[in-house]
Amino acid sequence: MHIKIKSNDDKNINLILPTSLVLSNLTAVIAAKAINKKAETKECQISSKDLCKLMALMRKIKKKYGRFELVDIQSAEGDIVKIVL
Amino acid sequence: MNTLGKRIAELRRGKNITQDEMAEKLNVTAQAVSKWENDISCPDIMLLPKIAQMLSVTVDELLSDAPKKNIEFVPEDKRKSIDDLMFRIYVNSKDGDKVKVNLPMPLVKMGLEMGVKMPAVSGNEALKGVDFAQLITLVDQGLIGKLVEVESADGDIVEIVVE
Repeated sequence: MHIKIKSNDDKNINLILPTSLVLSNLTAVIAAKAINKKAETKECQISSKDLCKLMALMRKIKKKYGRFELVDIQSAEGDIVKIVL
Repeated sequence: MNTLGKRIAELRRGKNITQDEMAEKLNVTAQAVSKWENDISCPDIMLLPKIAQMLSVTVDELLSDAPKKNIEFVPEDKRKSIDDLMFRIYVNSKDGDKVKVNLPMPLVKMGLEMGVKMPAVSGNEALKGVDFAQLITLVDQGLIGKLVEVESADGDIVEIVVE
């Protein structure tokens, strides 16, 4: 997984994480706990079991599509956030 | 910005064609296709109609940066499996911010089954009124293309394209 954050004041963050680690069940359990702790509404909460299922599906998708751009955000100020699986 | 190379790569993957297969059909090398997709070089203008035909789009759609505009009904015999479709959410805010979220359809289906709310995914309130389960039903029945275009009171434009 590649997370690229480019700000217009030349502060860039380029994170390359092993996809198998990001999409693992252990990460899902930790992420679910963190999401539920920070979620402001119940709508944003997710159980670790559900997140594990989503992660398993994401692993299949990664296998099928290879490099896959999940999110691409460009702000009016020129900031760019990209998440590539 | 969505470049010609990225569009070729996305469409090629969507049709499950490998770079080698594409190169063979176009009488070019796989390296040339790779260079196009990585925006190192561009395909020859004479190849564009062939590429467009191979990817089931028009040359105009291939060259255009805008998302696919038309809604289209695909007959059952020509229909792709819903699991091979891509759900794209485009948000263009009044302030000039642009958000593009690409979600494979199986992920959307599973998310909906789990009760994940789409405004949480895209971060836009304009999506609150959209019935995603209904959209999935429409896609199941063979409708693809730009299924939703919403303009919020704040002037944000949200589009949902299935392709």
